Amino acid sequence: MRPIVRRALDTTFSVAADHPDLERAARAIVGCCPESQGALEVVWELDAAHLRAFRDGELLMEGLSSIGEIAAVFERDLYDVVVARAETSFMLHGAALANEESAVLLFGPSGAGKTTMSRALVARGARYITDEFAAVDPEGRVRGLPRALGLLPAAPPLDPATQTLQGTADAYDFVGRNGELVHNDFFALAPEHLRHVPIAVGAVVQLQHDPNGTPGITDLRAADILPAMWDERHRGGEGELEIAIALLKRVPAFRLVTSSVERACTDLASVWPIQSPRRSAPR
Amino acid sequence: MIQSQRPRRQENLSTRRLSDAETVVLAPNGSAVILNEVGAVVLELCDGTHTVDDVVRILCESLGGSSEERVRADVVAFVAALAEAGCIVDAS
Repeated sequence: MRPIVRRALDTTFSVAADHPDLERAARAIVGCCPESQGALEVVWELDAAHLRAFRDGELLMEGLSSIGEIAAVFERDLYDVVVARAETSFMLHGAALANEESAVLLFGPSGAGKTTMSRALVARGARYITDEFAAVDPEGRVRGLPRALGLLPAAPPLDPATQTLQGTADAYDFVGRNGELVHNDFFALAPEHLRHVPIAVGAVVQLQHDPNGTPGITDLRAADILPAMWDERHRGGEGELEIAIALLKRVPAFRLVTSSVERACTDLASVWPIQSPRRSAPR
Repeated sequence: MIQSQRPRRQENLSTRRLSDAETVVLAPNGSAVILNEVGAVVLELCDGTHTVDDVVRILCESLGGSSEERVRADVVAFVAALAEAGCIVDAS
């Protein structure tokens, strides 16, 4: 077993598997996390032979049904551990994308389009930070847990721009506890699409998918966006609230009602440039 | 919460200033409740001695010109929201 060593947020971790299919699934899950030379802080071992998983030498779960379920257990635990170990930050359950100068935070309930918009914005030149957990620090900079995208480039609703995305696609299936077939797609974006270094947040956007509504983007006051943004936090105490308030005092906030990806990208670009404008050469 | 009840705000509610006119309360149920200036007065009056009717009367006097019916509806709804968020309890 040759461990895969990566870093996510503040944690350097390794994962090793005793079966090629399980190793492939683990690689897919951590596909967007950068490699790391740092000291290992958390170690996962995935044991296909006995259908169990270990974290730091302790049994995490046993009696699993398949390689796919071991991978799913690892994926869930990885996110839990990495997010729990993150340094002081406002941890938003949302997406973050960057241009050369700033980042945009996108949040909304499940199904609002965080992953779809992330994929579409990266295809239009933005850099991917996360589509799951965005960690905003007290200075208003964001980093993220770089989860491999759960949507493949050509997945519906078809967005032709996503055909240009560079990366590695993979998938695994398993039969869940209730007998249902669980299918997991992963698209690990190529490094040129990723950003791991903290960057200042330039805009906060509440996503609202409404195919029958009137699409568009509108300004929101801090008081109008804070309660919904706070509801999407991963954890929340006074320190996190302080960071969230400071952020909303510093950057503009918007509500983006989406009906189609193309229109949503155009609307968003009117308030946050997906690609930074080229600067003219100094004279 | 009925209008004869005496709401009392929870002790040690954490609040943060959001703007000159707005305050955020970190509610016991985990939500972030925004108070405007009138809302802040209502929460202040929820001290376990004033009834909801008292709060309505005080606001009507200070807001001069507002219809009591409208103020009552707003206060009752707001106090109910505060109670749901766990910010106040009935001290009657």
